Amino acid sequence: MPASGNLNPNTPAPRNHLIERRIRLAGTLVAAGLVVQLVSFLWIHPLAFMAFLLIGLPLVALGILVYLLTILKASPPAP
Amino acid sequence: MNIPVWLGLAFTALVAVLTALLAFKSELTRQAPGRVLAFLALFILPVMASWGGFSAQMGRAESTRFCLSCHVMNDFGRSLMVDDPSFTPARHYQNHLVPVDHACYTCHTTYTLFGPLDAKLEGLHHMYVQYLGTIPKPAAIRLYHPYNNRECLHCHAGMRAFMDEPNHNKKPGLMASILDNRVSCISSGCHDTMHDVKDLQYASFWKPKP
Repeated sequence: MPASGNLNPNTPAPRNHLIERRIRLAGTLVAAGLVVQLVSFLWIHPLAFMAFLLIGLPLVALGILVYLLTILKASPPAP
Repeated sequence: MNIPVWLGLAFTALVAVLTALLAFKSELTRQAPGRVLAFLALFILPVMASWGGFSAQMGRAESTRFCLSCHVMNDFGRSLMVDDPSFTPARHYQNHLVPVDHACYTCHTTYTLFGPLDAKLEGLHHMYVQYLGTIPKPAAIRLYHPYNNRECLHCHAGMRAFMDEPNHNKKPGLMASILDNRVSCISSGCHDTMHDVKDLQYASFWKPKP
């Protein structure tokens, strides 16, 4: 039996479900940030630079932060 | 765009696809390989892609095209094509004495430890003025600080044509004063015709042969 207690491995336990939701959120944020970064390369213009700096980078950083917090909280407590 | 930038963009696109895959199929992380993929796609690879992108953007922010993309800089761009060798920037630009694609930055950065960073911070201030402040008339635009000979000497110091130039040695100690920035290359009246945008209407322009 899995440690989380659920019998069917395809059915996530509530805790795992929460982790997966957060990973989904992190993935969405990082992907959105990377898309903004890619789009900002279409123009050589100060606004494109600012879009990269003020939208693209913060979205990626936020996504990474969500992911790191998620795995930090998901790790089992030390014995 | 050059090949390294294209490769960087392809890498960023690949990372975006991987993260999107995790966003849509987060159940992949139930297995160990999926967790490794998540660690790569949500931490290591985005950091690499963003760092590369940031570096490329900083490089683009030093390009002539970037500097001249704001309307207020149009006349400064035109001044680079003035058909008169007494216009110092035009002479440098047209004869490729500065890199043509980084012409503005080459002369308007400071060659000090934090010069490139200072130039970027001043650039951010320009953006603030452009989009949130009051845009001055081109002829009213002035440098933040008097132009330091250090920026000219970054290329000219030690150059034979500069060191042996009779006008630079016509008085004893003059060369030392130039090298120490005690006598300005520009405001001493020797090379004082710069962009001169207020008089561009009277200038004729060089047209490069196709």
